[in-house]
Amino acid sequence: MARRRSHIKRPANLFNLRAYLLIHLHTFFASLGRFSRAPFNFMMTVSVIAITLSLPSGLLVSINNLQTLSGQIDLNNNISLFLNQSVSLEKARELTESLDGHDKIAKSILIDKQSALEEFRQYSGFGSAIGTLTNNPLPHVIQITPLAALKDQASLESLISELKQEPNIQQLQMDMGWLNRLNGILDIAQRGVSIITLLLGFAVLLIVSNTIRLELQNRRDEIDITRLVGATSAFIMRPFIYSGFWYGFLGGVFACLLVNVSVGLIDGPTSSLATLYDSSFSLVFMSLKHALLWVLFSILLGIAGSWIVVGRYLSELEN
Amino acid sequence: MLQFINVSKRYPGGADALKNVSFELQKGEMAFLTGHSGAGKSTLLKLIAILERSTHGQVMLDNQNIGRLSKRNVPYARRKIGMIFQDHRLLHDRTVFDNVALPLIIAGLDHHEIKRRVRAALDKVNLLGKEQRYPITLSGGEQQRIGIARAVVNRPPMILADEPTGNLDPELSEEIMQLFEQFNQVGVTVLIASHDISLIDRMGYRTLQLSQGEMVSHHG
Repeated sequence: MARRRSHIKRPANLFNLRAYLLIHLHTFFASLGRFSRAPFNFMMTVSVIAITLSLPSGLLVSINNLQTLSGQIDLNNNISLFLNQSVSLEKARELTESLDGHDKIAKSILIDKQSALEEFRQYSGFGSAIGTLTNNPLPHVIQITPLAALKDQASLESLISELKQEPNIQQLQMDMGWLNRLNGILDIAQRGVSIITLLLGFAVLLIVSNTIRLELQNRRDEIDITRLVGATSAFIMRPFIYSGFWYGFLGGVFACLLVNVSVGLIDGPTSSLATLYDSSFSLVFMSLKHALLWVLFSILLGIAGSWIVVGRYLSELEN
Repeated sequence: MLQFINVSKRYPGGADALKNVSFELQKGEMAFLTGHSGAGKSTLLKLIAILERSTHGQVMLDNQNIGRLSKRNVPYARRKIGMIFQDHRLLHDRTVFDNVALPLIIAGLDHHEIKRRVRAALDKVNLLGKEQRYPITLSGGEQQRIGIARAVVNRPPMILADEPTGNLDPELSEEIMQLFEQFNQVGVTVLIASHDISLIDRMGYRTLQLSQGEMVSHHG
């Protein structure tokens, strides 16, 4: 009877630790058990989360692949100088020699119009069409390699504007230019993907919240009864938090699988295309580290989504 | 054990559910709470279960002003009261055992102790052997006894019953009342809200009578 008279305060932590862990373990599997009773609904929610998350993670993998591709391209700083049609081969040779002596240029090579046409005939696949041409439409081209010291944009520009003064040069083209532009575009794409990730992450939060809200409504009686027999908010919240965890965990895992299966499907055709270009390029899959980060992100969204809804619901109940 | 000191409860919208109610239940006492519907019985029970808070006055349970408890401490105070309802409030997707074990799981007991206590409680209400049945497969009287087993399994110092015999025939009502008397005999304070005047008169315990929110009589 002495026990009954005493004020029931919170039980001491130490006494409770083992039981506390047991409750957690029990709830952990009980929440899985509940899903097994309604597997269709559960898998539907998991699929929605997986598809939602596969979009940003898939985009990131694509960007990674483009970056690897652009990294494989031989980074030379060559500039091609297209000469006027009227310039003779003699004149072109003279110009090449004088450029060779230029103090900012390491090397210059003349590609005369005749050999350029031959090369084009051989590799372009337009051989027969070229055969019908009466005269050679290609200009002489001088390919120059600036000194390795001229790395920065400004000194390259000064060389280019100097070359533009030369009246025999009709046009000049930097091989590096498009690569820089591609990298610039990839930077923008990456920023874009960050925004999409944020938005779709928010969408996953709402998906989980809504699912948990429905579950809460279905189990309203159970919640009322457990409250009446003295359950704390933490006790009532726990199964829902675990539900959120499972939604997030499985949604994240399936998103990574979706992305990697897609990469796998595209990889075959990509490799055969790359062989046509004499490249051994093949697609990069999502790395384990990235996959783990995505799953973690997804779990956090799942837990946060259910926490917000259940916390709100319970604080409205208790006066 | 339980003490109401000038308790009033006004719901938003202006209706006075309880007006200046004072009474005291001694430890180990058994009493009935009567009154017409709308007299304030459910409000009074809700104040004890801390489902509502009083507008004025103090509700003391075990020398603690439960009207002033913080949200965090409310669940621990509720564990001192075993509550029994007219509609049983059982979880129909769980077995009899799991229903009765619920307060113990919440309290964080280990499962040997839970098993022992659940069996003891079921034994007391004569339901031993039906642990693995689902409530829906049992009769109304048996379901009510599951509710009672759940209320006492945690050995609370007080039992609160809201129309526990409302749906039962006189014979079963009698049985249920005898159960309450048995708990009372081992020192549990019992408060039973009921309409059943003839049953109350027959049992001869102290009766608290509410009328339009006022305590019109609280003597035996």
